[in-house]
Amino acid sequence: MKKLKIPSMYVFLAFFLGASFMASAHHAVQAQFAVDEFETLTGVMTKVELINPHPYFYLDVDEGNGQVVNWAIESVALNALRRAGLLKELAVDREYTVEYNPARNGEPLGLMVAITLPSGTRLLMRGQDPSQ
Amino acid sequence: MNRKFILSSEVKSILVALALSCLVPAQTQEVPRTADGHPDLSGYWILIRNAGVTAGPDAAGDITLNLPSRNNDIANFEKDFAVLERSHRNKPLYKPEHWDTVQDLDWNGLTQDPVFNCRPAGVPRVGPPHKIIQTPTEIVFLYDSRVNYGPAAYRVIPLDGRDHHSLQVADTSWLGYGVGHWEDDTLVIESVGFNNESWLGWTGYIHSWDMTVTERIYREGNTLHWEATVDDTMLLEPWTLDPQRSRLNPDPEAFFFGSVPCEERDAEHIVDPNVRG
Repeated sequence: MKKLKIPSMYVFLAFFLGASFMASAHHAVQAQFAVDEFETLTGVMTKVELINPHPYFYLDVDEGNGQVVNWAIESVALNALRRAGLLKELAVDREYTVEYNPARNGEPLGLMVAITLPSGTRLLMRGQDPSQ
Repeated sequence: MNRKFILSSEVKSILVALALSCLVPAQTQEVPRTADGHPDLSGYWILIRNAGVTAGPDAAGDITLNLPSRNNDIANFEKDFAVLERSHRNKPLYKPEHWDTVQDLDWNGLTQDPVFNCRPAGVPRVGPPHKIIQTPTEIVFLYDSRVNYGPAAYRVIPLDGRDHHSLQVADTSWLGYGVGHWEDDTLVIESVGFNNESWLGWTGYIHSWDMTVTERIYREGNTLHWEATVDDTMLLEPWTLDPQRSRLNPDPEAFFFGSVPCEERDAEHIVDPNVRG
């Protein structure tokens, strides 16, 4: 699978500007998501909402029993996605694989941990211990 | 109001790391000055704090967004933030009649925090400006649009010796109205005309219409020092927030991303509204 060519300008921005994007939180994600559970879905993007405090992506997922369920996926702050230079890679009618923490209330809703683009590029959210 | 915090060794290590990061000596280079002899505060300023970093693409072409989280566990990102906020020793001293309200907002006010609901952070919670435009008679502060600061915002602060306009004093605004003057090389801004909706901090620190805020800003090399003191009838004494530092962005092509709408979508899905961190 072909990898995405990231514009050099965005890589420059990401490193040279420090690219800090979220020093504090909008809400406690563990109040909404099961942060110790990890699941994966593949679906076709139906709607993109590039909003603060968190963008939402909606994907039609074939559940395998003839049913298609529209899932909502919440991501990290929009500025983080902007600094990765990937916004135009997140578009409707394309297929994505999303790794996510499921919603605690059982709704078809998840917190994005990683997303694999049609190009094969994987955008990963990861914890990094500040004391290391 | 008096809760004691027992910190794990992991949290202590984060606190030590953050404390050490504040001890980085300021650059000793000369401070550039404007034609009228005052320090030149113009430029894009990047807050020096514990923040996420974008890395990549790596050899596989993948991109990682790193969030500061204890034990490299991203689930700790917001827990760590809450512990750091609540274990802070510098707290405003409220009059006793406000203790119950502040404590309740601290522990149960997840959806009542104005920033959670896409409202502006307000002054002083918004912190130091992210860009400064300076002229001899006024200074303009610009604030980028980010999750923890709220929407993009601006302040136009006169430096020509005027006092607050009576309509500004009578207004109830998120950012207040500031007038500034120089005390040697320190810019002092006194602001009035605030609403009583913004919080002073994440831990439920409310205030009244009577709040006044005095900000003191000075430049040391390419470091901008900012601190703010709040005086309010709800407090037993004025409260000075912890000083914050920003570093000058040396990139001549620096810019702000455009502002975007803010629409809160999470509240209706939250299972446990009492978990703030």
